[in-house]
Amino acid sequence: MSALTFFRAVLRPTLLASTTATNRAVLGRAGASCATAFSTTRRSSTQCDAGQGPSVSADEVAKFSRMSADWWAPEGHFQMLHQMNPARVAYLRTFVPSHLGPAVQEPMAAEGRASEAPPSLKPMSPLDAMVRPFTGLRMLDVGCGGGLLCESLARLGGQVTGIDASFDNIQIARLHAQQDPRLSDHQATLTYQHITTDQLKTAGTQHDVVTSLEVIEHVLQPDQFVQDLFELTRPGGLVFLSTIARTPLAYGLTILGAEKLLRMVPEGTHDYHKYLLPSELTQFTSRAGGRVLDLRGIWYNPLQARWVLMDPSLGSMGTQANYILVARKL
Amino acid sequence: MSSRILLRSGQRWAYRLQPLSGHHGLLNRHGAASAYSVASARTELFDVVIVGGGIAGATLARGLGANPVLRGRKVAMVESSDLSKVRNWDGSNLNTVYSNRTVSITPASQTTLTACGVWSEVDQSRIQPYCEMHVWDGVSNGQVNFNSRDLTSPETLAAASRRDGHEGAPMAWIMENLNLHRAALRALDRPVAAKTVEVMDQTRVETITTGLAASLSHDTDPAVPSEWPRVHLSSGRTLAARLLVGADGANSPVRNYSKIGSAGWPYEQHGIVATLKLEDSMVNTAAWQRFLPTGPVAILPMPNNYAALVWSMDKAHVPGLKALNEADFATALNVALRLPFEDLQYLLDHLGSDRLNLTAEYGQSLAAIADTPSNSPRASSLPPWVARVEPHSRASFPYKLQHADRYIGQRVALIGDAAHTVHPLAGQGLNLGMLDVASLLRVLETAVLNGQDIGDYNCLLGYSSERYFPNLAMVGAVDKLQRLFSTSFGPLAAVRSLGLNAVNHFPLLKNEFVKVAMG
Ligand SMILES: Cc1cc2nc3c(=O)[nH]c(=O)nc-3n(C[C@H](O)[C@H](O)[C@H](O)COP(=O)(O)OP(=O)(O)OC[C@H]3O[C@@H](n4cnc5c(N)ncnc54)[C@H](O)[C@@H]3O)c2cc1C
Repeated sequence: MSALTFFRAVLRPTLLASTTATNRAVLGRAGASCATAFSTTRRSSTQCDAGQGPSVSADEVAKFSRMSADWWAPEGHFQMLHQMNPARVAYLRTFVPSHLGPAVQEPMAAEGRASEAPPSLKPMSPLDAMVRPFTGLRMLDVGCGGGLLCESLARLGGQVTGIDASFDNIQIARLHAQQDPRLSDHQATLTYQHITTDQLKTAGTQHDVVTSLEVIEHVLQPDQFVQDLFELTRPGGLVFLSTIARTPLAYGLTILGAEKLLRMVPEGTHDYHKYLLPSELTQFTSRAGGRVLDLRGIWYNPLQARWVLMDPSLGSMGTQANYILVARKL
Repeated sequence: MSSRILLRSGQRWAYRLQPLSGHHGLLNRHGAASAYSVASARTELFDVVIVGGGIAGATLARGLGANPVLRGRKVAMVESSDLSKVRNWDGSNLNTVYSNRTVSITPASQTTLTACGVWSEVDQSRIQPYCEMHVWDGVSNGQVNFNSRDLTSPETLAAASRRDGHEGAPMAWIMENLNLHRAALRALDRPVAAKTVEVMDQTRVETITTGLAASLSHDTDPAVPSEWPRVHLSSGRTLAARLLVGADGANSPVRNYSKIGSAGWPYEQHGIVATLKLEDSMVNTAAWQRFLPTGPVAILPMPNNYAALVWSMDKAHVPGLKALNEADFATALNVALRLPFEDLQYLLDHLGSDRLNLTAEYGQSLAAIADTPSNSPRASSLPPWVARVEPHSRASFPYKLQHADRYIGQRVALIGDAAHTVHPLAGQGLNLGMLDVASLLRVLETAVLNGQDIGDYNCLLGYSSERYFPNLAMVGAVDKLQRLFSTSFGPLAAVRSLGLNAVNHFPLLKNEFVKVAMG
């Protein structure tokens, strides 16, 4: 396999997924504010509500529709992110129901399971538990982008809130969800808010599950950011985080490859120094009052055009580039 | 338009607000009712619209209905023909014993049909399992005999014989298309599927439009997602599809709508099918195929010593063969099966000429072979003796090779003959379609479990990456076989003979062949 073929097959998707995660490369305007938003930027709440004033012009609507179509274009800039989504959801499915899910109406399954399910959850049939495993859980996705993860979680029964510091992203996500009758009718709960974690903290809401995937590498104060995520989580709840490890391999993939050699994304999209090693993220987590339950790599399989979760027993071998973790708030 | 895309709802957005919360979601202007039931008087929303109610389409529909994870989706199956004719078929309204259209179903397809609840509806008295296949070359006389025991492990064999009461797992089953099609439709009528799937037969798909085009015209309907394809039916109904499946055969309207091209060519050979009665003394549990330069001739076992004929033939000779009286046709067929190719060539060249008296010409040489005592070592490798062809059972079909450039588009998937047609010499056409059905069902199930939109291109990619190259490989392999054997050119024929004989003597090679044949 020549270097170039290897790049095309393996590296390109990997770095695309990581570079496009918060849309910086593509939606320049939106992205610019997004990168620094979570802990630092405060677009005032008046601004975000005013932005949605009663008389949004037809032009605005058309503009957002176009942006939404671009963001969600099946073979567009975010294709790798789209392809990564099933692996992420599968990861959530592995941990959320077993830790927080409702009792399943099966004597075997209900017994001896130390679930921290919210008391309001009614027992479910095994089939419902399989098809809507997140039923009744309050889930928050921080840095939701165009709503890729949020839509999936809502289809699986979650009461989902997606927040993003980019107003454009929120409009994109709203318009897209509107295109799916099963998301926009009574069967799903999906709310998008243009708001920062700080603002949400002030409101004092807590969630059963908080996710922030491929976001933290764009944040100025990652340790504070992790702190915020845990504050938005109820005790016993789960936090999911994914990012890129600060390793020579990841540098080669995302910065040397994508930015400098192939100029696929503008130079400076990534800041290698903001990449976090699994050990660092684990440390932030415990400082924030969480305990890591599982951490594993996610790799792209170019032959199947899909992302796969690595076996956690691979340890650091599997987590040299993209990785994901789940932690419980103690 | 502006009322549709509200960018604000008081404090925050809420796509869904439970009825008991006292205020309704923006899009849910109709209260608690599902958007699916209230979309519009003109356009109805469906999760899956299957165009084509053939065997592939009906099996997929039933699979969607029977799968617990996929159940609860809204599915429509649209078919232009009158399906009650198939549903009410009972075999007795044929003027022959068996219908002349048959398929060979591999164990892989049988697994899919069983999982989809179709197999149990098949009339088992009208199907014939077989464990052996004899393939030989009419020019070189190279021969290879396949046996499903070549492949199966001793344990599987033992289990199969305990279960089925006969030795060895079948290599495949021969059955009438109608038997299988009826089974799929009956399975669809069962409550488990009927709740999910609405069958619209005697209904043509007239046009398919993209919603995006519609949204630019004044015709837009706010409750219908602009991106979903709209299927306009001869009944006047319009269906908007989250996922549009083309199971609509070789001239697939869905493929045309999606602007998916296809590559291929018609074959110079057409297929003659017929129902045959074999000599009573024969043990009829093997499939026979002889490769001749004019095309392969296959005798596929049916119950009670009947057999199905698939005789691929240079199309120039097809009308002449069909015009022969029944006795002469049977003689011509026996010539094709038993005598050197030169005899058949002579026969074909003189079809329609008054001077050709088939019985006089070939009776003796055929009789000499037929007289071989049945206990002689040669007898077991002799092809069956065709006693007669059932009246009115002959028909012919053109063949073509065709492969779609892609199997998927945004909110579109192609399955079965809409995606690929192959030369029937390997009996694979429908079997590839069954593999498509199984793969698509698997992919859709995974998509639902991962909370994906089942019409989304990136979710359908899983289906195309699973099926595209294997199907292409099979289409190509079958085409190469067809070319390789359609020549009487000396050296090539010698190589062929070497090839077949070699295959026959190397168990490993043989296993590979059988594996392909068994799916
Ligand atoms: C002589 C011969 C022998 C064969 N032998 C074998 C064999 O041994 N084994 C094997 O596996 N395969 C065999 N095949 C192939 C097999 O018959 C086909 O692959 C199979 O029947 C295709 O099924 P399908 O459901 O994909 O398509 P079809 O059966 O073609 O179904 C398509 C359906 O779509 C409907 N449709 C089309 N357009 C519209 C429209 N606009 N609106 C509504 N409905 C529409 C049609 O009415 C039709 O019912 C053979 C084929 C031939 C010709």
